Amino acid sequence: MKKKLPLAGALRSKAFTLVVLLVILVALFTVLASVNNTRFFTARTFIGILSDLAVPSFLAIGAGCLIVSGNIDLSQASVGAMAGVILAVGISWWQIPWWGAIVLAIAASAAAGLLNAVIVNELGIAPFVTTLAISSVIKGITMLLSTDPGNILVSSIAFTTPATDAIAAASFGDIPATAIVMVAAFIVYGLMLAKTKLGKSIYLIGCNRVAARLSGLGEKKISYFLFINCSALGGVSGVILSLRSKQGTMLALQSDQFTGVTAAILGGISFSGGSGGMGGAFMGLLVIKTFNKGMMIADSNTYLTFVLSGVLLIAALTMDYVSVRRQRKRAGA
Amino acid sequence: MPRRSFIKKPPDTKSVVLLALVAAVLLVTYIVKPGSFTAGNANQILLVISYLGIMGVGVSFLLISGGIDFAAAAHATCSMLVFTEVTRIAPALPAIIPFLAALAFGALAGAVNAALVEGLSMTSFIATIGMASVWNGVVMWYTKGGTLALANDSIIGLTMAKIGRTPVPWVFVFVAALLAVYSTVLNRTRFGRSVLMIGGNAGAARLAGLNPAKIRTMLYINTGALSAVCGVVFLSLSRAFVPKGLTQNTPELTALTATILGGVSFMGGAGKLSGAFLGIILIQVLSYALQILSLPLWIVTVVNGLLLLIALLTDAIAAKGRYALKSKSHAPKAEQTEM
Repeated sequence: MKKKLPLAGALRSKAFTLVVLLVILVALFTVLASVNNTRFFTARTFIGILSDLAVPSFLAIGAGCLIVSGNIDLSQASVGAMAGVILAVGISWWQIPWWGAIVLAIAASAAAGLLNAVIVNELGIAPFVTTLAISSVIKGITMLLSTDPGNILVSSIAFTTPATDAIAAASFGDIPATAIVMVAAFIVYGLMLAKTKLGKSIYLIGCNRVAARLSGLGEKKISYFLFINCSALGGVSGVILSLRSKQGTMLALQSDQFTGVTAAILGGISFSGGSGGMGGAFMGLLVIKTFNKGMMIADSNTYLTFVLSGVLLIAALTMDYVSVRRQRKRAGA
Repeated sequence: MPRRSFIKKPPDTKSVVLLALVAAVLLVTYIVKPGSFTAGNANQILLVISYLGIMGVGVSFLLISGGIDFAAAAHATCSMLVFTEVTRIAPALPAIIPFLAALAFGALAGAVNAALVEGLSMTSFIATIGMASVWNGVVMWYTKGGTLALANDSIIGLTMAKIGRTPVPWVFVFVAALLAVYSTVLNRTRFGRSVLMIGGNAGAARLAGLNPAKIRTMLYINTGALSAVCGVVFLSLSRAFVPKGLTQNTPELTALTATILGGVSFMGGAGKLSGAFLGIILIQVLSYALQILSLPLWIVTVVNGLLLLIALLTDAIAAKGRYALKSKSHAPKAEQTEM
């Protein structure tokens, strides 16, 4: 029991560092924007950030739960792109009703997750490379789906139905409905991880897989659930993106391949499993998106954003290192 | 020191399988499209294998030691930019000066990776992805996404030169020599054995008096430098600096796939560089064959994924075999450790 205390302390300090980082970012961009005669600190900016969060947040939730259990899924973004294309193709080419297309898209995503789970659990291959390989297979399938009857690869398939347009435009006041669904999802999954028996089992599997198996937690069943959950949520984010942009494209989410994983790690979900939570993942995502939005408003040179988003990741990892070491020292003293 | 007998060594099944696969792909291509066996095509394949091979040697050496570098392509791209800019500023200088500048940059970038992973004990996977995003960002920021012309075309000859009338480029010979040198270092020297040992069990290696952090730091720097060489060869092929020319094909993932195909364990501690090189040959011959047979792009993408999966499966089966052998000879010990 003694060993647990410094770990919990480190986690608390991690959420704290992220809040500090966020405050610094907001202050920095407020100053930078005023230098460039634009304004950062407005309600519109924050609603924009909240709305930007919706798509990657489902990636981060799925990836986060999976990483807590000590696994990883790199195929999530490709699965999301596939889901978006299935939605678009289903509505505009196959003429199936919009809800059928959404169900089909999510079901196909879940099937991809099942495939990952089977290969990792039954064949015993490292999840990291398994999902990298599956990602390539899924990309190929997405290309096949986007090939029209005339054998031409269509890079983006537009679709429009009154119902899907209404879902994309739905909002409560100024806040888009998808953002509210996102917050609800974070709360539900956060509670699941922190409060339920399933959540505790996931942490235990992440900490010590063998011990979890020996104590009869059904670690394989849980691993299947988490892989399928991760891909299905990837599908959800692809569907949301597709609904919003009114098109499905095989290039969707390409820049978000590592966003979910990065957000989870930034938020304190350790790569080796068994630590972190949904609150941290949300904070991590918030920091990333605030940074991107701020760069967009404060500086017109978008290329600099590429550099600085890498720097942000490295800086956050360094801060994490420093805080963990400080905690360890304190625990040792 | 006991003399090793080279004849008694069991045949390396993995390499044989890879070679057979390459032959099979070539045979199928020949049957379907005999006209495609031209000197020009052979030259193209060998050139691509050459620059990928240079990166592959670095990446697989690092992987054997238990490290991973996702920034290799970004390092190569940034080195290309360094080379292009040095020739633009001083076009009169011989090509060796900008080459050395690019090499120095690559080594420096490798050292940054090493500092993050070994110095600050970050996860190698995420730190190198972060650095890849930094370096790619620097390139985009500096070039604004535009193509830069080469001020000095002396470098183009580097990949143009062939051995006599054969389609084999001299660069390929250089890569083969590089492979031989690195293989010898890995298999025949004390340093190589240390690399294998820290990849297999870093803790045990440390207790045995090795310094895993120091060895991996050297390998990160080595990977960076080799990526720079890969970049210069690619620059010579593309004849101008295209910001996304190299990274759009994700060669770092190709190198990784090839490495695992060739029997380097993803977890470190096992593998041969020649196997990794054979993996690269297989991937390139296959993707070129798929192009020549004018199959749709989606099949090519699916096949690439399946190839990696097959590689992993055989790796897993081989590992199981190794484990079974080990547990047979040390049965009581294995039980003890499990408890």
